[in-house]
Amino acid sequence: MTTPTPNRFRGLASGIVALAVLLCWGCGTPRRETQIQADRRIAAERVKSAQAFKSSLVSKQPHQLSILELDQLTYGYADRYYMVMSSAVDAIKRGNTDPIQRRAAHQIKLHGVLAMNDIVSGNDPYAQIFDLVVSVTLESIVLIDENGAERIFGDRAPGLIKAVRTMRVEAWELAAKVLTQEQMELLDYIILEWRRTHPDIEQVAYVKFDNFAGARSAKLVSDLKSGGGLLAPLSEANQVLKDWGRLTERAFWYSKRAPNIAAIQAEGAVNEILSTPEINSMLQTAERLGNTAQAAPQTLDAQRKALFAELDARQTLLTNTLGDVRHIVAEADSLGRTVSLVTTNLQQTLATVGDTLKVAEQVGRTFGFDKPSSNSPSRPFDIQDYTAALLRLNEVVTNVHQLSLNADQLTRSEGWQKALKDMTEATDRRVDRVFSRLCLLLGLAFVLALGYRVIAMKLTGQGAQATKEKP
Amino acid sequence: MRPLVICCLLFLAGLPGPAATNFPSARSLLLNEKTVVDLTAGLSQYENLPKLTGKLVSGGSGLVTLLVNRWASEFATLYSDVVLDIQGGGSVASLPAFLAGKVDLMPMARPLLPDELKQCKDKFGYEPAQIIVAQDAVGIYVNKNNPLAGLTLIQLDGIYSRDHKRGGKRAEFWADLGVTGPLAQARITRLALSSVHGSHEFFRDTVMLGSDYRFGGHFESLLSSLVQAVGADEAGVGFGSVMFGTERTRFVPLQTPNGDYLLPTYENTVTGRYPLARALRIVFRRKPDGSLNPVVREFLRFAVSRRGQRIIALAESFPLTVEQQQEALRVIGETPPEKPEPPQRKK
Repeated sequence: MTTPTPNRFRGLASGIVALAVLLCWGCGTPRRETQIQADRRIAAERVKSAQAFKSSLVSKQPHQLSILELDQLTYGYADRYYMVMSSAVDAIKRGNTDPIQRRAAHQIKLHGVLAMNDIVSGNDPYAQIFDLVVSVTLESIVLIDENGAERIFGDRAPGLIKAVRTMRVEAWELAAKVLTQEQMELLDYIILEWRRTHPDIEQVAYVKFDNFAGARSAKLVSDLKSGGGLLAPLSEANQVLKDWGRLTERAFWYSKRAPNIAAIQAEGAVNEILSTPEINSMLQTAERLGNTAQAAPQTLDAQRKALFAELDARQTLLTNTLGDVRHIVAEADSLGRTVSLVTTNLQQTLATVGDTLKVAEQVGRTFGFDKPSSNSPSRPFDIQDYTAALLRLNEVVTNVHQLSLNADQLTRSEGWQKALKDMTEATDRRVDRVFSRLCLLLGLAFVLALGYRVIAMKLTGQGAQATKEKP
Repeated sequence: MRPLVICCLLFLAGLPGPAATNFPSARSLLLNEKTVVDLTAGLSQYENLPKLTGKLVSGGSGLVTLLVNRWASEFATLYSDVVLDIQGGGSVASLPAFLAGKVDLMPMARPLLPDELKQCKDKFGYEPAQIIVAQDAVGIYVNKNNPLAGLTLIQLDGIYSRDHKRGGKRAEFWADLGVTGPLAQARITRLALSSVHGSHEFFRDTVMLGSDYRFGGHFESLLSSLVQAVGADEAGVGFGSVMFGTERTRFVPLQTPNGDYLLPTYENTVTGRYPLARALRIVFRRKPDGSLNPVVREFLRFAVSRRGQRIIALAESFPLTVEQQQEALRVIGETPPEKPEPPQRKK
């Protein structure tokens, strides 16, 4: 066992004292010193951070996208745009009874998708990226920043706002693959400036980068073409542009999506027609006529016969109308190619219905059916069944892109047949009901007449007997 | 019967209404045309146009470059022989080009940092000049339906900071900031500008006292996108220049040292009462003998003139005061007019 020597104790004690002095000195350091050190640390960190950022900018060699890669990205974007916007717009239209809102929602989808398909199937890869960002950003400014979506759709707006915002974020993420930060800032500035000077333009989906005439816009494009951004320079692009494969791919991509576009256009045309004041007025006239017919006198007279005749005539006319529309659907292939034809035919068809209803209303007015009756029968004549059938027609026409693929098959579709069947059944039910009421009344009249006859005979017999008994 | 009716009415009045606030939208705080004309009436006009040729290259803060672009559009119409090359990209990224002499003007949303000044002095042998070209404030953006009445800097630090150097609590949900109603249980969506922007540094130094941003925040590369993100998300909060206010966003009043809650209006910004008021600057090379690239001189004279200030103020910026204009002209080397007209600050 060894005992510690005094020297060792001295050394240990000196160490402890030195440590204590150091600790005390540290505790006693003025607060200001600590603050200065903290500030120095912050300043050092800031400088380090800035230098790291600078060096990252200098040393980073970003991958330059080729034109073909950009094509694939924009195709993918256009497909996602269709999907996201369709979902949002369909949610707004679902169960929405306001034709103005439905039309406005559909217009957003229609113009957005058309513009997007137009952009990504264009032949200038540089214009593509700018046009895409411009279109989507302006749309987001109108619908979100300027509160356009909420003004039009009220409580139904949040879904659309989210969708538009999502697509804007994706568009700029796409742009970030080919543009530098300063190019993006310049593009953003140009878009904001354009909107600031064109605040009244509501339909912005078709605004193209070419609209932003100016030296800085031209510089942006020339920078990108010369490889100033992250896109492969023009020399390579020219080679790629000569590649027929790219052209074929564009055509193939577009042709695959053409039916969707035709469908959206056709639906837009139908919405456009149904939301016009003329059609609204026509439907109201039809409803009024139905109520008038329902309020027909209960007596058995020539008016009732006229009503039956009119109902029969109307049923025939409506059946003919359905036939007209069916005929239109049979020509759906050409409709798919030119939506204006759909619009014209449908307008003519609906005009025929309108004329028919006007004639019928005049007939009703002639017979005085336009005055409401207090003796309303058990179930009113319900024109809504006709309206529902017409709306079902609308749905059928909405799906015109499918019909365009096989018109015959689609005219035999269940929905269509059901619409026809419902229409016929609804009309038959109406006529049967009135006819049965007529029979009942006839029976009642017959019973009353029989009773009258019996009573009269009885009274006559009693009278004769009384006369005989008199002296 | 009457008390019953009154009770029913009171009950109905007490029912929660739709999610909307009575706070003004962010756009409504911006200056209208009449106010802009009044505010800039006292500034001296851009006169004595020299014959000018040459080139000017500008690169720096994206925010101030917006203003430079607006001036450049007009300036180009006055001097058709002058070539203007305006770039953004951020102050930090532009400094190397400025040091290399490739950039004449460096727009900045903050003053030069000491180490940046030192680099310039080492390179040129003198410190670069800087002038204030516009007023700005960093507004705290929330969705227009957010009922938050106000924030202290401590709360703001609690939202964004990792270390909470101001001593506040970490704010995770809107209820942590005193919000009631449907939004209370929503998690705060924190949005900030990426580190390329001067506002990123400004906010970190001024609000978070140098602390780092918390993890999980969304960093946007464009301010217009940040403001839109807040407008599209009821639980969103972001900060940035007041120039980008939209219909779907509003500013949150901030508490001042004397306890008032102030919005980033022109008055509160110019007087410096709003806690996050700041000046937008342009840094440029001016030799100690006062010599200066003539195109730079004319561009800066134009920028701080009445005409230049009206251009940017009509595009949602806050213009200079007469005193600030005089100081800017002095730095440029231009003698300001003897007796400037008094400013009219009535809004």
